[in-house]
Amino acid sequence: MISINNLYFQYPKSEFSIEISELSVAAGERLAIVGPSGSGKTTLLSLIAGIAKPQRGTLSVCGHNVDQMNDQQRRQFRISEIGFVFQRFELVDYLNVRDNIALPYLINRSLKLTPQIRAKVNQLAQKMAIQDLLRRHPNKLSQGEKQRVAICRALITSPQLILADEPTGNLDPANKQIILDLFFEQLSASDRGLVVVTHDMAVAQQCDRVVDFSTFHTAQMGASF
Amino acid sequence: MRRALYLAWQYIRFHRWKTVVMILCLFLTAVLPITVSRLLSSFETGIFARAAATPAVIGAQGSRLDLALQSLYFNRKLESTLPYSEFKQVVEDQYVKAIPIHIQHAARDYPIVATNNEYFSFRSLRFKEGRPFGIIGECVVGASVAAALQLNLEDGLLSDRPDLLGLAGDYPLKMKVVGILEAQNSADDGAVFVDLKTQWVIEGLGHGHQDLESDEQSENVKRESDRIVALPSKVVPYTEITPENLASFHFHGSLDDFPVSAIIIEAQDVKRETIFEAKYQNNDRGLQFIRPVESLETLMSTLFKVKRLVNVNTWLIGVSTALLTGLVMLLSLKLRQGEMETMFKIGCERKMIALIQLTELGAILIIGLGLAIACAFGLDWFATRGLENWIAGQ
Repeated sequence: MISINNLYFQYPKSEFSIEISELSVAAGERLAIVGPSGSGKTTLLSLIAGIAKPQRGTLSVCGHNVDQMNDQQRRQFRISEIGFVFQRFELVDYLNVRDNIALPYLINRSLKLTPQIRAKVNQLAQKMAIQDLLRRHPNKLSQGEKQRVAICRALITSPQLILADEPTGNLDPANKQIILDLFFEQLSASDRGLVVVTHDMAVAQQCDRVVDFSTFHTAQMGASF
Repeated sequence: MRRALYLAWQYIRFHRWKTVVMILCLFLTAVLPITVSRLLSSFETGIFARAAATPAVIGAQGSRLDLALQSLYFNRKLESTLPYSEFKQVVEDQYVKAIPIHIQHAARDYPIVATNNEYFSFRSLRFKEGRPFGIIGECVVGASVAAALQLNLEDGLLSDRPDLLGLAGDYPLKMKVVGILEAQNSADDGAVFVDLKTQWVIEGLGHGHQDLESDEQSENVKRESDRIVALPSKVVPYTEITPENLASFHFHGSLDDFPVSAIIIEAQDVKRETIFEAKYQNNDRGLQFIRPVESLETLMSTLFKVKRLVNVNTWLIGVSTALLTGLVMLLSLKLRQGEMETMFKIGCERKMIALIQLTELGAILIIGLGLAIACAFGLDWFATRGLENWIAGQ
């Protein structure tokens, strides 16, 4: 599902760079990336998603050569193949839960918000136990509820790969386990791949493989493997 | 575009108070200059249209502007008048049309405009009900007067007493409404039209009373050697003119000496008007010839100076509002950077993000400016006449 060879990336006007000689993730595999802050974990997610473009090396995700795509192609690739879950949930405050889940369909011209998709929003909300909150806005939700909404949003387009950046970072322990259970239950049901950046060993333990960035790569001001 | 509109609408709805404040800022900035501009434009159009339809006016020497405003808007009572004989003299000229205007009194605070029936055709006034006045004591009321005083045909309308404390003063005259004009959106709507003789009766220059030589009046009169003198406390003048007492109305003195405020002149051609102007500009009879358009230009130039000041002020406020709005938008964009990044990460095009922001801004601008324009037109609709009267009263 993911194949990385001799990848090199440096942010413009920054000394931070990341270099990965080889990393692969099989289809449906769940990979946890752990490591200290500033080691390049989030940057790797950006590269996999096609948000950042590597200066060198090859990067293949879900059969797409991401390193050779232009901006438009990478954007289209993100819409069709990637689902994001963020640490701070990143919900849109002025949209209610229903619209937040359906957000990819509201902002992408290539996606059509059909009655089937609306039904899918309801189904996902039910599975994540937030079906009663669909009319609420994010400011009326608890942290745990917000993350459930964010997970639904990541799943609504049925992506092949979920990229999660510290998904439990803002959750209390009680909520964390419930949400992790729901999240992994959804992943198992659909056989999607997962790359999750986390400091939380409870999350890492539920994954098939753990890569520790502190020993996996070397970096200038950051990371290189 | 539909998606951008939907998202913009959701944003505006959710942040409704912020949006209301921004709309109010734009509205308040825009409403004053738009309204002033609109009102002045309407006023200018209205006042010049009326002035242009009144080619020339003859009156007693004095303020040219006062004479113009009185003959156009009936708002002022001129201290100096000209004798009726001047009107008769103008009428003899077959190349001009002359219409007398005499304003001295009011009825329920609406000016009583003494004129002749030619005035109605001269101003293209149409009758909603009734007919022009035929005999003394009859009046035709403008649409606003009829509406405000709820007057119908055959109703009576009492003239105001100029001096409420005058014991031997004029008696108010009860006039009979014989015509109601259609609304014109002009000063004619707020006037009570009568003929000159009716006005002179109100002024006390003429009156009607019972025959002093009749037997019934023997106790109310004093017979002197060659004349009969009425005892004022006993012989009361009629306060209403009816077909029965019409014949008893009479004027003391020569009509030629009776007052007229102004004479509206419509010459057959420019040459005739110029000759007329020369005749009345150099006379020793204390008269003057004015063209209302020229007199009103003085008034308008003062107004336009005020307008220019408002315009400069508007520009300054506009620029500061635009800068503040820009600052608010920039701060808002900064606050929403996370939201925009998220949208970009989940596949939204940068131009779609920009479109959403522009749609929000556009909606606020359209609503703010739209409200200001609607308000300006609304105020214009309600206030044009009020402003005209206010300016005419200055």
